[in-house]
Amino acid sequence: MTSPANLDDIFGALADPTRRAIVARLAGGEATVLELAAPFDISLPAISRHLKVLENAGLISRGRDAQRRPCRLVADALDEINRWTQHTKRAWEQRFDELDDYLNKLQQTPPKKEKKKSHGRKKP
Amino acid sequence: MVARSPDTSWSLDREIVVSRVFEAPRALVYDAWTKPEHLTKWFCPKGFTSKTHEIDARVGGKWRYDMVAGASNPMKVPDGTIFGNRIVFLEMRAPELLVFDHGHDKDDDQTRFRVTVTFDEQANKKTVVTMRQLHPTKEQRAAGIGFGAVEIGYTTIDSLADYLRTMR
Repeated sequence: MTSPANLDDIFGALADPTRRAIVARLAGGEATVLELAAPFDISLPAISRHLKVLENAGLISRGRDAQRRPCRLVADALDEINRWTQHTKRAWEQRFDELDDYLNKLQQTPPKKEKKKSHGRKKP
Repeated sequence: MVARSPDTSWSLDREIVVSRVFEAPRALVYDAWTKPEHLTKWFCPKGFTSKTHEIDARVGGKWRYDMVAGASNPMKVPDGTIFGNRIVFLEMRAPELLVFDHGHDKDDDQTRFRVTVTFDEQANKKTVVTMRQLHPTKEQRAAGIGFGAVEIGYTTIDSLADYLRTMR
């Protein structure tokens, strides 16, 4: 029911199309800031700011190599998204099960008292 | 929207989609979602009972209800645990569309979700119900971004996380 604060940060970070594109790129393997910036028509500082947001949300980590500092995705953050998504999806599927049962009940056994109210559509 | 390189089929989802075919006419299915006497009977997940405080199923109206946990509930919370829920009806277009916000029973709940439900009639008179729920983000709420056609790929997020672990 409640989403941990961390989840808000993660989804907040992913609300931006450029950051989603960066994450999608990193799904293919680690990359440097320069490599990540290449497909975009925005400045390096702007890319760095996006990376900072992703890093703060725990979605990516930066390598220690001072020259390259490659970025990579963090599995734990993806798990977090996955857990929440699965939980929510399951809740909806259970609800749909309930609705299915309920609709069947409604159509198979019309309650007696409702008969009076019906306008006799079935009568010849 | 999202730039995708051709070599990766992996995508990040911003919405959850659940769809199902029901063996009932569309008008009846729509009623089940929008008439208080029906909605209150099935909406609560298994293992919970619902207690309605108020329900006004019109655009702008609210449904405030408690979800009360039973002895064996899927969330494994103690028997009798109460979750206060609030649904605010935003758009109702019989018999095809319903939009509502679903969250905790408090004003200005920042964790609420926007839910869009569509009802489509099949040629065989069955009804397809599709529920879309956007991931919660402050930015999206502020900008009022609508629903894009975003693919779902839970299993791919899952396998990607596993894959990343093997790379360590």
